[in-house]
Amino acid sequence: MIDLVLDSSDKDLLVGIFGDSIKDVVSYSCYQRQSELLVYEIDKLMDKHNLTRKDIASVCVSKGPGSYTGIRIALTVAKIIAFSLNIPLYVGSSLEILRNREAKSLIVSNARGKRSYVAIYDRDKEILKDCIKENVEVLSMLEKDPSLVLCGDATYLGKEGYKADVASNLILLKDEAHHVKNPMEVRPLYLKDDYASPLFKIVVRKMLPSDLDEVMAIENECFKHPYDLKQMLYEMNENPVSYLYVALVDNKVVGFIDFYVTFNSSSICQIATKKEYRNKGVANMLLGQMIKDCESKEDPVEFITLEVRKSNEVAQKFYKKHKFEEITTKKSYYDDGEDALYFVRSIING
Amino acid sequence: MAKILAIESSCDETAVAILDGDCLKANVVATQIAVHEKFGGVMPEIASRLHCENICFCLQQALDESKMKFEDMDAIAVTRGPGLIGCLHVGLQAAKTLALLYKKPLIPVHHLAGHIYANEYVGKLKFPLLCVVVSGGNTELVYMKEDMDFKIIGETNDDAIGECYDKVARVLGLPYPGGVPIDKHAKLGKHTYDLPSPHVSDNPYDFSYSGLKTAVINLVNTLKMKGEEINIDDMAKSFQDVAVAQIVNKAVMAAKEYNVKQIVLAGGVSANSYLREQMKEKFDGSDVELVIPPLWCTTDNAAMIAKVASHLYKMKIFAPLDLGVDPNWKIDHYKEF
Repeated sequence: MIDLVLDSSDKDLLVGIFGDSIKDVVSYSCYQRQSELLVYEIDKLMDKHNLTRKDIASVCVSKGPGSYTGIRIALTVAKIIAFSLNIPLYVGSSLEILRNREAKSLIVSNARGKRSYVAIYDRDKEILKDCIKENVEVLSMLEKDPSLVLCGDATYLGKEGYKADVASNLILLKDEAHHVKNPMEVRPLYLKDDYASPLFKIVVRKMLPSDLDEVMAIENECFKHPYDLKQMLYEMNENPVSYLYVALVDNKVVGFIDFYVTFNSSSICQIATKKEYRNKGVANMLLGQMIKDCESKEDPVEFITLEVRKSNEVAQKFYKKHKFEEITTKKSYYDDGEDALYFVRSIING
Repeated sequence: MAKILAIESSCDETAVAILDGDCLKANVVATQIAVHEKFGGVMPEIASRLHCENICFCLQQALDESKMKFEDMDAIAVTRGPGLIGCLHVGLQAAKTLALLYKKPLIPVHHLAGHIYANEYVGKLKFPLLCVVVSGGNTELVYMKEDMDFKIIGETNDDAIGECYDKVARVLGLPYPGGVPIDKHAKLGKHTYDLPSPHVSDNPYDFSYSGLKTAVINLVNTLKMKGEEINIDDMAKSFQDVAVAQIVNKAVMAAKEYNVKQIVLAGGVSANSYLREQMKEKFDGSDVELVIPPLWCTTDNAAMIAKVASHLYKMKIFAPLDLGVDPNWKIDHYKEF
């Protein structure tokens, strides 16, 4: 009988067979080709050792974090094997299997967007659970604690990481803690999750005069031609059609929205999120608040319009995700001559 | 007669079917519509995640319904494309793993061939045949001289018709998917809004839907700006008339030129009652027999994949285990993978 180990969570593919008298591992870099090659390599390896499905005693696999498609490939294959043959499935983190078992390891993997998937293990003991951190923070963690051994492919940080024997770490998953009761139910570990609830609590409320300093800091950080204090005060105190809300995390302002409501239409004047809080659902909450406001008006607001710089692709993606449609281009809309794209979305009443 | 287990995961339905000769033993579909509804369209990453979560449950249910085991199969079939890439990967891994473990031939199936051959569950296909493939991702006219011989004679230059329905529904504040709600509202309305008939390239059988979509959006916004009431029923009717006329007119033209015996509707949009009605009006009483699929065949399912696979099994078209997906696979290249 043999145990099968599988991993395709990053750029590599790994298939290993562990038996009483066999240890055979195939591993190579095949970015974005794991879907083609993983099952093929299992087949080749089983053929080579004259194995059939009846020889497989268990499967060990990594579940992420890592490339979304990558982690789904090995995990789907492992699930199907364990489920169809009714054999045990052992699942572990794809960072855990990159650790140095003789040291205190800081394991990293590139999460893109200047962020890393990170975990810390002291030999076999988990010290820091898999999470996402800014790359700068990871580097400062390393600096602060010289006893940490950096593990994983850290070239994106400009560093060299310890290269673990991944197959041997995978086979170590064969214990009670990593055993999965029902393989049918196993899900990958995605971590970077735009689709789930935020990792921290975001509160949205009306903007108050006491928020102004923090709001102006965000204004200056986010816009090419920011409002000055006078304009912002006008929006807040005098403009009869403007509505301003702030988003707070731990009582600190991390984003705000300024929108106008004029009869049956509403337009976003400004929406901004502090750099380190982007991609965490802040803007979702602010936009959600705006839509709630629009829906609760006695005179119903039917659609929202906005202009966005043609070069601001991140914002365009955000609006498209929120059901906005690109309608037209407004030539030289901005003071500096850049075109604006005009976006519209309807508000569904009832 | 071959026993085939088929897996389909090209878009937002995870499906498994088992076909034993001509007898469909199991047809399991786990739909994700409720999840995608709140986004107003299919979110590819979410769909891929749900496939990964659903796949084993669908396989188990198919085995239970058919009272068969994986060992009993003669082949494992899977949708290789076209579709959403992340979604296709999940079904492919499942199929390849089963083919590997149970030493069964692996059959790669073209999704649209599936929609066409779904009609074999209703009756016999008669050649030469013209197939009108209309779905969320495709709008094509396919000519078939004989069994398993596909030639695309026309296709969309931009958006698919189903996509266009979804977007127009969204602008009108109707739910996703947009086909059924627009159809319902159109029945109550009159053609009062002037919408342009789409212009297309040199090929008279090609389609275009992005211009029509933009025209509706612009019109809706202009009316709102002016503060004019929009009559949803009339807008739906005006839109649907133009959208469907394009298909019906080209189908009539192609049926004549290619002198076909049969014309077959396929794909999600073929569930549209107005399209069905218009096609019947044009072809009933003519020399061309019109085949309209039952509603269960118009949505994605694995039964149709199994049906195509049974033809491919006879032709001995099997794939090696390093098979990959192809999100843009063309139907006339179905033997190339």
